[in-house]
Amino acid sequence: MPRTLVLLGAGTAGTILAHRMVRLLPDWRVVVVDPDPVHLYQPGLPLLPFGVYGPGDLVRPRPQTLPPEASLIRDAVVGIEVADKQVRLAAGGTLSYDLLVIGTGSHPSFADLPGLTGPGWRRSAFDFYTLEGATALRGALDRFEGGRLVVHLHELPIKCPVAPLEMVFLAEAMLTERGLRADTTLTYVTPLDAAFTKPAAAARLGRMLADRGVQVVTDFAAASVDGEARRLTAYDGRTLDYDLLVSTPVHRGAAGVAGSGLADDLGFVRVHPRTLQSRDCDAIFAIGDAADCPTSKAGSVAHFQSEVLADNLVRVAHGASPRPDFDGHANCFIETGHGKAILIDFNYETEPLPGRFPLPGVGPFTLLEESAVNHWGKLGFRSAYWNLLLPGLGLPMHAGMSPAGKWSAA
Amino acid sequence: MNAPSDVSARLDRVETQLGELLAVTRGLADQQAAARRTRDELLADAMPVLTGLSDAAVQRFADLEARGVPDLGRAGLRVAERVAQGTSVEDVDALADSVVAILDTVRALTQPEVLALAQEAGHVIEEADEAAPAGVVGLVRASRDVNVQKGLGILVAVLRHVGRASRVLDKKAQAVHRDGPSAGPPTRRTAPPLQVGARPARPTPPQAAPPAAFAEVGDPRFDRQGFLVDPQGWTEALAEAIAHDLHLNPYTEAHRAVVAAARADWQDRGQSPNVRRLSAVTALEVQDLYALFPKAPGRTVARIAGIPKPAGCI
Repeated sequence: MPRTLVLLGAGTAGTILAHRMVRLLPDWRVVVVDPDPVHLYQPGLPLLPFGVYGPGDLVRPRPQTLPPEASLIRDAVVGIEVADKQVRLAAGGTLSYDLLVIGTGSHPSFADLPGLTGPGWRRSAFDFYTLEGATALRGALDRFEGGRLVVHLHELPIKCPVAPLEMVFLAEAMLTERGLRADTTLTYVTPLDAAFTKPAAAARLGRMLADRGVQVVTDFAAASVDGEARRLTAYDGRTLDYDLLVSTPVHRGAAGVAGSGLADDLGFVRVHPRTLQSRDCDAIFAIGDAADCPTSKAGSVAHFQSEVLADNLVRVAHGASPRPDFDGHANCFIETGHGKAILIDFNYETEPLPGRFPLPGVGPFTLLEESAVNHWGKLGFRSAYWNLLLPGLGLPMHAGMSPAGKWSAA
Repeated sequence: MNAPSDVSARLDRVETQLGELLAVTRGLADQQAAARRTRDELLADAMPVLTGLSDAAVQRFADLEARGVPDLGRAGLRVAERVAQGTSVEDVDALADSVVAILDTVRALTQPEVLALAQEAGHVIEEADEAAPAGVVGLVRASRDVNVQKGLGILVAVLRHVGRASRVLDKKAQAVHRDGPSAGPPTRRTAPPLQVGARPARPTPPQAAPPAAFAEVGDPRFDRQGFLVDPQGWTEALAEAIAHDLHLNPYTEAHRAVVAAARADWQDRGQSPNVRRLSAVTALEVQDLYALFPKAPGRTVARIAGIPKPAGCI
């Protein structure tokens, strides 16, 4: 009777793991559970409202992305019975596991920003973290003739924390290109004390928004949205009026996971930040956005974690202990408009630093610095995602962050 | 007319052909799957090799960077850029026109006798520092020295040549002015100024809160934003002092409880709680947190609790 590895969620992490584990644990049964019939390339979402991608460019049928050796159950998780080692599914069945990996991701919690989905929702107030939201925003931007455009970050954690900044940069570029810049006030609203909160980034990039004439409103803890009056209100009484609001609410973990007893108050599974093993049960691991690791929620993090976790699953399957090999590494492109992007590379210990990546002194990618090469890298990544990353083939780089090529913050 | 056996034979043939077509299609599908598997295996095998090559390249370039090579290259590029920016097409044309004259001048200047003279002059200027100052009387006395007389003679000859050449150039310039730009070398034109689109007026930035006393006196325990550099150096007494510094008076049990909860949460999770998380761990409403810690409670509590500023990734 083969033992069973259950992967909850077939996003970036779950898909990579499915491919790796059918090869690394050939005697095990690998079962993937996901309710969505398609796999969405999420890094393309901030670009969709600006016409870079259409919805069809960002999705593939789920079965095409998974290995034939893994079983796919198209269903949602509604509960995890830790003692019985069973997962409860929405359609009513249960699934037993010997090892469980929770990769159910993170999701914008619109309900946490009262009023956002009230009057004006997807007419003057938008998100871009869903395919429907990004598509609706594209229509609104096509029709935009000027006014007060407000890009709003509600509260951390969110996935891809740099995406709201990308939205500002891309909007500024679009408005300039269409000759609407002079007719538009562009505002970036954040609950943090600045757009760039880390010292090296603030030193290198701190002027970027001001140079583009973007007003930055900081320490704004949003309490509610009034869709009729088109007004954003903060807990300290400040208000901000808008004509077009692009808001990113705080994210939560999947509902079926949140109630399992394994997760924190936002539904993210409590794990050891370096082994990715659940703090409450040795047979359970979490990966990607679904875990509460104190690093960004990003696709690159899921990729690097999958390398560590694949090895740890093999160790645990053979009765050994997992190794604390994950260093919090993240590697993210930030679109800045006008055909350029920034690249940041960091981990638990090291903030984003300037430099060249991957080859010291040469690059070609520039760290904490805008360049056209970075922009091409971001666009080119989609192909690498479908053809190399998802099939578990990886990229020619290590999971851990390399200090090579980085310059001191000074 | 078609006999039934004729039709039946034809149907048999069609069935056979369909069977063959199906077999060929299945064969193609299998071939494609096999090709994909081969490609995947190739990539899977190649990836560690590529990673190894990448490691080697990274190491090589890290060595070069440590020795300053890329910086030199970049500086060279910057110089080339400045030269390109400061040089117009007309400049290059003028350079081309004059290249023979320039080469002649260089040849003349680099003749061994001329070079030797220049070297001597260099030595003299160095030694001249030690010469005593000379007034009018000193000049007259000096002019009786046969070497000074020779030097004066050379100076006069040089001045004569320079003056003559200058008068010839003046005459040529006047001819251009009279007859049009066909005569003489072209004049340099400056590039037109860059057009910049109008930007909307930038609003004045919000006033930052005045720095607290700890940061002002440059206390090395705190960073420039007033956060404790070493969280292990925190004490309750320090917390009270920071709170007092931030004009949080009185500093009550309610404040202390929130600060304790923030510090515990940071110790547990490795990241400082923002206001939403604080509300969750203290079971206080966000409004209550604002009442206790007006203006940015997440940050204020982090300062008092001696934990890092709640921040994003960048």
